[in-house]
Amino acid sequence: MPRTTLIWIALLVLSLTGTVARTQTGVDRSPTPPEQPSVSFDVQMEDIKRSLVELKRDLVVLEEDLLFPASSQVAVFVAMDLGEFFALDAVTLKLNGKEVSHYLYTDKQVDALYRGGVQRLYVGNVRQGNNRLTAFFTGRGPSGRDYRRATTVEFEKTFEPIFVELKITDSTAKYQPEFVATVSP
Amino acid sequence: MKSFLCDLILSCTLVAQPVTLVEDLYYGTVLYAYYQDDFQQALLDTLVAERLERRGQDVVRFELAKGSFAFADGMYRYAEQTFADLQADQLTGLDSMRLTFHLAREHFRREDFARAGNDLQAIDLGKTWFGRERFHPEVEFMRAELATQAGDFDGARRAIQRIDETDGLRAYALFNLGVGLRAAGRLQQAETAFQQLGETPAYDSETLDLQQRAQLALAFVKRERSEPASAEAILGDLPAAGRYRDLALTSYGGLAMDRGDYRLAARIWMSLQQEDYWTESTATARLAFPMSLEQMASGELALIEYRAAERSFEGRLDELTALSMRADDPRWVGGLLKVFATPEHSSAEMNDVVARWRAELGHTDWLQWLSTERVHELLLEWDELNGIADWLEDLPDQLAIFDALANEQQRRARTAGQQIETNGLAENRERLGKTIRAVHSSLVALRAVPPSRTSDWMFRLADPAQRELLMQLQMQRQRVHRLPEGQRDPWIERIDRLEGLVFWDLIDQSSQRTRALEKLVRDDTRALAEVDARIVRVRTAEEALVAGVKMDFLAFQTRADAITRSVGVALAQREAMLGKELKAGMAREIRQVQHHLLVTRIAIARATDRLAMSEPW
Repeated sequence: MPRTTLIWIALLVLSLTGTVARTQTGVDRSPTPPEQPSVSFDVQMEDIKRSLVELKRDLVVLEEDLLFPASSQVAVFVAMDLGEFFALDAVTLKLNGKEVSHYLYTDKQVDALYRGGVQRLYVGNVRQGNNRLTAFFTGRGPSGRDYRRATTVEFEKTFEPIFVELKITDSTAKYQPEFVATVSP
Repeated sequence: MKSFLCDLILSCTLVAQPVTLVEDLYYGTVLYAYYQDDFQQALLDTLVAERLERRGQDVVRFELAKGSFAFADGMYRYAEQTFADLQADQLTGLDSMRLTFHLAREHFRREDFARAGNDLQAIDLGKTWFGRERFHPEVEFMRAELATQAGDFDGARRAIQRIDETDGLRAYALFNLGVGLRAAGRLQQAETAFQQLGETPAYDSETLDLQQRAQLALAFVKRERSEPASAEAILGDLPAAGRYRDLALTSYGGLAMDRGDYRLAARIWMSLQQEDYWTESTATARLAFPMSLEQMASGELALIEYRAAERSFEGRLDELTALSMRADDPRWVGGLLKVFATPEHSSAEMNDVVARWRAELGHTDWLQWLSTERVHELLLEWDELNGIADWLEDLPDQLAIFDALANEQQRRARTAGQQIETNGLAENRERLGKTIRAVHSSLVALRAVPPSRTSDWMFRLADPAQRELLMQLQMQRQRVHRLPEGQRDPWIERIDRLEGLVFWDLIDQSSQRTRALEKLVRDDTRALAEVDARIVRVRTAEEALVAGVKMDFLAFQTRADAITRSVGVALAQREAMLGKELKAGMAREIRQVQHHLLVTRIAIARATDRLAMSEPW
């Protein structure tokens, strides 16, 4: 979407008209200008977006039912607590010895994790019984040095979905990051 | 830090837990999308968590998040309805404050400043561990805006001071404070606000842009305060290739004219008028250049330049008149709008489209015709609708894949169901069940009968080695009976002794063996139950698929078709509206050019007269 172009246009006109006072109640975040008669447009737009998001929701649920039934589903989440001692670059996942995911993070994604967001990194299927998941974390550790650590968790797959959380925490005692994998109830 | 960041808008899980609950993981995923400004995805994740019943006990936080994301994505009615549906008795104190914050945003958006002010008054984030007051940037931004609106500039300043310097909202609040002060005639304070904004560190392009605008506004204020030298210095500091270059140059030229420095003014106008595009600034420069020359007593040269300006205005008018007629054609307008539908990441594609239109229009100034906030909003909606239309267009393919997948799963389920019968799995399962039941009854009987030195009792408890030994002893006993009567006794005694050893061994081990057998029966029974459950699942899998999935495809397509129709109508309406705006933009420029042309012709007449008067008779 050429949003930059659009913003450029909006800013251009505000500058060219020379009436800076028009922006008194906020520039890009300003309330709707009084001259526009587009209430019905807003409502129309909202109705479409709402129908769409509900359609997408049902599609996601259907997709999960079809592709990842509960009896074989495993979902892996990545979370971060503090994260002062580790700057995350990538996570590689191995499930029963086979690489199933390799994910490179952008600054924005790392920031989202740092602020308390949780990433659903992987959803897949595993056989019932005992399984083994290993996660390799790559990034920069204390003092900005390259850092690579792994953590492993074993779990027994039943007919219920399995949720594995990979958490990066800080050990203030050791001045080192810690990587923990747990299976959520 | 984390608690500070996510205090108001959403609730975060701050207490360290050894194992995170599933609902907390799902809540974290919605935050993950939200923190990346992907509001639609955040809303979708929230709705999915709701549908999958993975919101746990604390439903309120998901509801607050849902309303917040809907609001951020421009779905104001949905947000309002979500907040209205929350029951007051379900809310904790902090939840109530979060709700108040969301309502304040909604009232602020609607410009219902009285109610927004009341909401904001009710927000108190308390103090940090160190006893310092806690603030939320958006709350302080709204407070500053309301104060500016009400003319309480000191209040606005105090609110702005509470916003972190790195937050983009601070720049907006400062700019608007400066504008408000200028409008109120407090030029000195307006200057301070603009200067403060100029000194604020800029961490994003929006703030940087706002700083340039503040510099421009500061120059205007300086000019109003009759400080042209300062104004010139400020304008001179603006980036030469910036967005506000033309406007700054126009202002600079105007300042030079004010001060009577027509030589400088002429240089500025000349450089501006040489640009090959049309903006209000370049049009003004075309007229102002000969005016400067005229003031420099270069009458003849001024007349030549006036005539050049006249020609360029006439040419521009012809161009605009022709384009205005073409703009009646919706296809032509639609083609023009394609520039905005080009993916931003595809700069090569974008350049191609722009180049094509430059060739068609002879310039790129048509962007100015679309330079209004109204058009900006229309374009955003139009672009979003196009994105939705593209997504809907791809949906049948996706549904076809799901359909094929469902059919394949259905086929496999049917095959598996048949295999249960054809491969004798059901028969084997029955046999296993019978065996387990038989062992179980034997165990029950064994527990009921006291230990006795009978074959029946001993065989039930014996392990394979002992069973083998007992069998051998029984066979030997039979052989002994074939011996002459006098020789039997020593052998029988020996067999009895050996059998007795086994018996006492069994007595010793009986409780342990019984427990082991019981466990074995229990495990086998559980395993058999699981086999049964699997068989049931396999047998009913086909029906479950048909009930849960097959019907959904039809419903999906029906719903998608309805949305597609709405999107088509909405797109057509916006294109029609954009066409009107485009024509209105052209009309605005036509009026401006006509005005410039009129002034130019008057100036030509005046300059001609003056030249004629100066000629010797």
